[in-house]
Amino acid sequence: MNTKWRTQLKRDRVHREWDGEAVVYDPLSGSTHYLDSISVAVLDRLRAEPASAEEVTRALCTEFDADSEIDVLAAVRETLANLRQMDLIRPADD
Amino acid sequence: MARGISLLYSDFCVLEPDEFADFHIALQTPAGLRRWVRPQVIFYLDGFAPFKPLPADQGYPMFEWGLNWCIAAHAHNYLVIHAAVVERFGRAAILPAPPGSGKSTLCAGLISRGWRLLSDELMLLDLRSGKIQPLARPVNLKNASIDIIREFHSGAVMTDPVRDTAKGTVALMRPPADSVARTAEPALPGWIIFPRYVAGAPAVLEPNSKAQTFMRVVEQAFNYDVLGARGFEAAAGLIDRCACFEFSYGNLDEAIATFASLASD
Repeated sequence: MNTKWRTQLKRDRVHREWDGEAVVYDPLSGSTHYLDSISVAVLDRLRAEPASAEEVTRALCTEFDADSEIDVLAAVRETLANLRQMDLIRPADD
Repeated sequence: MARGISLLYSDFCVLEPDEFADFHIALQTPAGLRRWVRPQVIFYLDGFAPFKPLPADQGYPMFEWGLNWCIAAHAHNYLVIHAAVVERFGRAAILPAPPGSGKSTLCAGLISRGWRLLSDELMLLDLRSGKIQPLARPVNLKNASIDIIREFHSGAVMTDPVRDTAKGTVALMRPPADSVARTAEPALPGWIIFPRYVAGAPAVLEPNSKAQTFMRVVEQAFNYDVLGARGFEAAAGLIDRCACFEFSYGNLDEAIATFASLASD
């Protein structure tokens, strides 16, 4: 499965970023989420253009000169699942 | 009750009866048998009793806890956070902590060595100015910390210990007169420090992630959900202004020296 993901644009959502990590407040749900550095990096990628887990992985491996693409792919998939649960991303064809 | 208030609030001014007050409270004994048989005390705010009665000998602590509830439940022009706050050289050190972390012991130690007390229990972050509003009310000490502070600060003025409360044995310590005199003087935030008492441990101060600090601070906020986006912005502004640390300590003198070093940087 090669789902492409994109960020959920909600005008009222507010966020702040410090040192590569971030917090996001969703006024519709009242939830506040913590985003670790990989979540921030994944969201930055998806903000630029919709991408699949594999495409994000390749981009991050290049940017951060990572040794193991397999490990990064596992982390990216987990991050995408978490971001989906936070309603911060959705499938690009939705 | 009267003894406790006169002992601990002697440096506060008394309002005239017709002056404005934020909260109108009363502590009364119930009618009927409970006036005499295992007597109880009830806390009232504007004639409404928000809590169950407590044993009469817990009247004074109930007064303090009731006041804390009044503020935490109603002061929504502030982001109200469960934290001790002390100030030195114009900057406030915020010590957010769940019960049992040693924050009140550390707070009592610091104010006995020259730090200004802004609050032992509730940090009031002004939503508009981003400054911290002082409360400078008595410091709530529990269990072993009562004797620790008695030994550490021979001049400490405290109520007699009250046993068998929901928090164990508690005693309240009078705030420094200087801190009370400066309650109209808000403070700029400088540091957010999560304290943890570990018996015998050396004092260790370690930097903390700002984003993770944000999440832990809002967990300790009483009215973050009530304030919504305003609460988020206030907390984020606080994090912007503060250096964030994790702090473990086992000795008050060492802890105070660490804070002194931080304040002088």
